[in-house]
Amino acid sequence: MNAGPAWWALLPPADALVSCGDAEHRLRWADGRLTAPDHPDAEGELVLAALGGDRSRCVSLIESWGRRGEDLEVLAVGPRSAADELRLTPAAADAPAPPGALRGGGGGWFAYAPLTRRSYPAHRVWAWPGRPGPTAAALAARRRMAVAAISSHRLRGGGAGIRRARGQPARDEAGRAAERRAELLSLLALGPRFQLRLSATVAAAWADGGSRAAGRNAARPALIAALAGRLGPAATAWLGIDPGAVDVSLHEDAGWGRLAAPGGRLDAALPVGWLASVWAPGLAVVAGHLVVAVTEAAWPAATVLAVPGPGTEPVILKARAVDGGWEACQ
Amino acid sequence: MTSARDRAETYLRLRAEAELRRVQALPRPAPPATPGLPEPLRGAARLVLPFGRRAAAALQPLALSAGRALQPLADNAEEALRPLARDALDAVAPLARNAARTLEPLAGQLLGSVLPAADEAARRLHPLAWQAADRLQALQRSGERQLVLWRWQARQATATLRGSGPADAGPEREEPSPEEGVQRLRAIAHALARADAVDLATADSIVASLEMALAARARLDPERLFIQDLYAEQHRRPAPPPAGRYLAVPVGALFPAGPESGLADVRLFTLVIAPDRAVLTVSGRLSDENLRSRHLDPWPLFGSNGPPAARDDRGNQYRLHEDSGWSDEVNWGGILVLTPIPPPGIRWLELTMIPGAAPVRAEITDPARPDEDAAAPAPAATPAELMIEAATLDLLHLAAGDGHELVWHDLSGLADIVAALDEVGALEPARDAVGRLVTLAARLGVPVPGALSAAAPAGGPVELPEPWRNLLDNSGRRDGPVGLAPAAAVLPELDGARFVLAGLRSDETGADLDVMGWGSQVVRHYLLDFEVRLWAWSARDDRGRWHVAEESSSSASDGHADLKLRLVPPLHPGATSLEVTVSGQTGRATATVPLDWRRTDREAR
Repeated sequence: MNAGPAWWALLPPADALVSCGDAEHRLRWADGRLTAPDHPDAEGELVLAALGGDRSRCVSLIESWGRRGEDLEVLAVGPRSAADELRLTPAAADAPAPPGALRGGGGGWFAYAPLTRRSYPAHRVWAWPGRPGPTAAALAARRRMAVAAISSHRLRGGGAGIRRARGQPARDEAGRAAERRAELLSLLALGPRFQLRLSATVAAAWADGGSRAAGRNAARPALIAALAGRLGPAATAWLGIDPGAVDVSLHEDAGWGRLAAPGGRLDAALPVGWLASVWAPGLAVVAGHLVVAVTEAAWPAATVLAVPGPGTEPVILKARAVDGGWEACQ
Repeated sequence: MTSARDRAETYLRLRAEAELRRVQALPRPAPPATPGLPEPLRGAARLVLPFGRRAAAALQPLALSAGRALQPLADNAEEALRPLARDALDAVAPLARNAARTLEPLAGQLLGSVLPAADEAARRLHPLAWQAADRLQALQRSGERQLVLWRWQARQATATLRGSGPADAGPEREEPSPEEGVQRLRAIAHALARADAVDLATADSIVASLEMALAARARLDPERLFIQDLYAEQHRRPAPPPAGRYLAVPVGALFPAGPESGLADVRLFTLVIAPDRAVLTVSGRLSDENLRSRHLDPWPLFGSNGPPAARDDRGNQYRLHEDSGWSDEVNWGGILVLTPIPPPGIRWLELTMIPGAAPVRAEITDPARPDEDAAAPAPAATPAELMIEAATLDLLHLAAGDGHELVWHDLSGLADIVAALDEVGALEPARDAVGRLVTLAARLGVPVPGALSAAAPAGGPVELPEPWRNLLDNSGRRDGPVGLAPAAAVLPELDGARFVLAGLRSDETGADLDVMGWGSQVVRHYLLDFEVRLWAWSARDDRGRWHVAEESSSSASDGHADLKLRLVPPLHPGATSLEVTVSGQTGRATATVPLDWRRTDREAR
C-alpha cells in the first residue's frame, strides 16, 4: 500500500456482544485488530486451546478472524456495498450435518438494515439455538469420531463399511468445506460493521505492504472480481451506469490508478488497497466524486483524492463522516 | 502479463459477480409460509381433489380425442381468424362468462353422479389408477407446455405476418431462479475445466463461493451447500472401475413368469460378471391385464416355489436374488444378483430359475478378451469439440425420435458455454463443430441464440456429416423390428469407466439398450446437473442405419450405474448386428453385437 494513513484510519471501532459460555461478552474491533476485552489473557487461552484445552466462543471467533484475515473467500462472499444486506441464519452458519438436519434449529434470525445509522452500538450476536456453538475443535472431534466409527467397522470386516470407505475421503473433504463455510459465516454473522472490517482486513493483506502482497500475481483474478463487485455499485452511484458496465484491472504502479469511460462503460484501474482504505469506510462516492485515495485520515475527518468525472484529474476533497455516510466539507 | 488460465479464472469470477447482481435484483421470496393453498381452501381441496383427479383421468381420453379432432380446425381457424381475434375475444368474453355461470351448477351435478362410480372403479383397478395418475401428470405438463407453445407460435406467426421475421428465440422462459443461475455457472465452470482453461478445483471453488454468497443473502437454501460440496468432491476424485475381469455372456432363454408377477413371461438376457458383482439382466412382457401399468411389482419373478439358483462346472453353488427393476407400458426389465461372484476359470454356469425345471447353461468363454480386441479407444476430438458434438447429439436424438420436443430444446445454456469458451480463447478448435450445430438447429427449426450464431464460422450453413444426414433421413420411421436380443459385449475401458452392454429391446420406434457402467465417472450427479454430458452414445446397424442414444433412465450408487439407453431412429428391419460406440473425453470405444432375435425365444421349459 502506498505510504499514507493506515488502512483502518477511517474505520471507527466496532463492538459486538456474543454469547460465551453462560455469559455475554464483548468483542471489539479497533485499529485493524479484533480483541476480546472480557478475556484479558486471550493469547494464553489460545495457547491452551491449541494444546487441547477448552476454547471459549470469544477466543474461537478471534482465532477464526485471524485465520480469515487473508482469505479471498471473504471478498467473494462478503458485502459489495453498504446496501448489500447479508441475512445470516444459524442454519446457514451451522456445522456440517446430514441434509435435513440443518433445519429445525428453531429461533434466531439475523437481519441487518443497511448501514445508515449514525451511532455504533454494540451488536448483539445470539448463540446458535439449542446447542453450543460448533467450535472448530468440536467439529474436528465429530469428524474424528465418524472416521473412527467407520474404521472400526472396516476392521470388523463389514462389506458396507468398505463401500462407505470408498467415498470417505470425499465426505471428509466435504465436511471440512462445511466447517470452513460455517467459520466464515459465523464471522459475517457478527454484523455489517464487522463484515466491512473483515473485508478491509483481507484487502489490506493483499495490498502493497500487506502480508500477502508478494503473492498477488496468483490472486489477481479474485482481486479483480472483488474490485469489480464493489466498484460496480459505486459507479452506479457516481455515473448512473449499470454496475455490470465496469471493466476493472489491478493498478500496481505508482499513483492512484486510472478511470475512463469509453462507450458508456467505465474502464477502471485501481489498487486493491482502495477496497481497504476507501470502499470499506463507505467513502467510495462523496459529493458526486469517486474517491480514489485517502491522503489524510483522522476519523471522522478525511482528506481524499476524488475524481469528478471519468477522464478528469482528481481533486482534493475534505470529507466528514455524518449519519453513517460522508459529506464534503468544502 | 495475463496468462490464459488467469483470463479464464477472471472471466468465471466476473460471471459469478454478474450472477450475484442478477439474483439480488430478483424480487425477494416471500417469508416462509405453509406451502400450498391458504388454509381455508386446503380442507376443501382435500375433499375435492381426489374426485377431480379421477374425473380428469376418466375424461382425458375424450379430451384427447376431441383435441385431435379439433386440432386441424383450430389450426385453420387460427390462420383465418387471427386478424379478427382481438375483436372476437372482446365480443365473446361476456358470453363465455355467462356460459360458465350457467354451466357451473350442472357440472357440479354431473360430477356428483359420476364420481362415486369412478371412485369404485379406481379402487378395483389399481394399475389403472396408477396409469390415470401418470396421465393426469402428463396432461398437466403437456397442457402447460402446449399453452406456452401456442402462444409462442402465435407470436411467431404474427411477426411473420407483420413481415418482421422470426419473433424471438423460442417459447418464453421464466427468469432463471437463483438455483438455476448457479447451475448455469457450474456448467460454464465445468466446461472451462474440461477444456483445460481452468483447473476443476478452482472452478468448483468459484461456484461454491457464489452459492455461499447467495445463502448468506437468504437467496439459496444453505442445506444445498453440504450436498454440493460432497458431490463436487466426489467429482474431483474420480474412482476408477474395479480392476479385474469383466464378462458379458449372452444367455437368451424364455421362462414362464410367476403367477403373481403380472408378467406374461420372463426372458434372461445376459450374464454379467465383474470384479465386484455378478448379475443377470432379465426382461419381461407385461401380461395383458397389466399392460400400461408403470408400477408393477413382479417379485417373486418365477413364483413362490423357491428362489432361482445356479451351479458351475466345478460344483460351486450360487444363489440368485432379485435386485431392481423398472417397467414401462409394455415391458418390464430387471436385474438378478448372483452370489457369490463366480471365480475365474469356470467354463459354464447352469441357471435353474424354477425349481424342477430344466436348467439353462451359460457357456463362459475363456476371457481371452475377445471383446477387448474387438475395439480399442481411438483418438477423439478436443474437449471443447466433444462438448459441442455431445450437445449436437442431444439435438439429433430429439429429431430422430418423434421430434415433438424439438421446440422446447433450449440451446441458451450451451450458448453460454460456447460464449465462455470463446471469451477465454478455448473455443477455436471447436468452431467448426459450432457451425455444424447451428446448421443442424436451423434445419430443425430450433431457436439459435445469438451467442451461438456469433461463434459459428462465417459463411453460413455447413455440410452436415453423413451419419447425421442418415439419422435425419430416417427420423420418424416406425419400421423397427420387435424383439429382444442379449446384445452382450464388454467395451474397452475408457476415461476411467467400464461399460458392459447387457440386453436390447427393439420396437417400431426405437430400441432400449441395457448398459452397466463402473467407475465414478459413469454416475451422473443430478445435483451438479452438468450441462454437457461426459458420454455420447451412437450406433450403426449393419444395414447402414445410424442411431443416436440417450440415457432414458438410470440407477446409480457407489461407482456403479445401471443405465437404459434409448436408441432412435428404429433399427433397420433387416439388421442383424449393431455396432455401438461410446465417446468419452479421450477417445471412443466400440463393440459390435449380433441382433439374434430368435435366441431369446429359446424356451427353457
